[in-house]
Amino acid sequence: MLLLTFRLGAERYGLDVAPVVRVLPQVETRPVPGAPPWVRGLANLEGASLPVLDLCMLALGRPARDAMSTRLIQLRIGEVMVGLLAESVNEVVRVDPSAFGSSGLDLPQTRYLGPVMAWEDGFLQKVEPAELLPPEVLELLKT
Amino acid sequence: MNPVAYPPDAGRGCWSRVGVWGHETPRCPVLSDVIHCRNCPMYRMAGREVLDRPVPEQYREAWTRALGQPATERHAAGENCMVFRLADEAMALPVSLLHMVVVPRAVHPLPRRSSPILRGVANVQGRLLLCMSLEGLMGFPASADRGRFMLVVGRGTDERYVVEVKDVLGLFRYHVKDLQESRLGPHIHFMRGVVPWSERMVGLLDTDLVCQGLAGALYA
Repeated sequence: MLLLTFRLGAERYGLDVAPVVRVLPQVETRPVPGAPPWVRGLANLEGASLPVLDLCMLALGRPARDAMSTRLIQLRIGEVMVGLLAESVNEVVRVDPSAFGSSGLDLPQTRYLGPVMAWEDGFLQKVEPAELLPPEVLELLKT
Repeated sequence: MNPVAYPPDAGRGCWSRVGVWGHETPRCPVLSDVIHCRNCPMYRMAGREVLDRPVPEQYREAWTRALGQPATERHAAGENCMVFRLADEAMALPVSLLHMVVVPRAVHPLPRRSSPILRGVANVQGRLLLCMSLEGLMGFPASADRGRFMLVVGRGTDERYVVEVKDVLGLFRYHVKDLQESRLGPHIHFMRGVVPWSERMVGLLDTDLVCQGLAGALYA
């Protein structure tokens, strides 16, 4: 399988490319009052609004850096289109899905962090986009 | 294992001084192991740093504007093509594959290697290029009369072929929405479809398939 890799802090994570629609440069967003801090805002993508979630804010509690490699990943979760902002989105790697093993941890707050595999000098952890948003939020985005 | 002895300025342009793109001596000590700077971790790290540079001014504004355009306007984008005649048919080739249009020159057959597709070599500006026949590649019947032009085509900097065409008819830009599937024909294999040009439809050649076909013909 092909994974689009990015970084959270120093660690590498990967996202299955199947639900990825496009990888876009960062764009300006309109803040959404009352939304959780990891909701960066709404981006105008070809005239439609795309909710942008900041993965760095969600996992690390700090906003994503202003670098060229910080990219907006347009992703389809079920019927919903979301944009994920992640750092160092600069590689697509081919991995053997059977090489992934459970991380041994199942934390309810970080259920989106999936299985891990040994990669280069460390680990590559899969991110499960379906677990990123609580079902009730997904339901809200649909309409 | 000995620590790897990188040159003193490793990762900061060493590739254009003591690496494959440079001529300074002594050569990089790692080069003999990695063969090409592309395989060197220093080069890869420098590449990642380029991607990690800060966002330039107005980059975000420009992309916000560009991506905010309604889809139909942006997707109206197409490709510039050159139309030429092959046998009796008009064909269009994206200019991204085209480097030069030259007058025909002598084609020197290659002993024991020439075929209906590989015609030989031709001298273009002092460089010997393989002369290929698009008619042969696409299965048009062979014709004896020579064309009026030769096109130098190929991707990147290394891949260059020269192909003879009967005539160059012009340049135009097609819109993606006008691209249609071509009706079945013997030459369909190398075509992306047909596009309207000057009140008729011309076959649009697929750059990937044509390049693959030409490269493949060399080893046939």
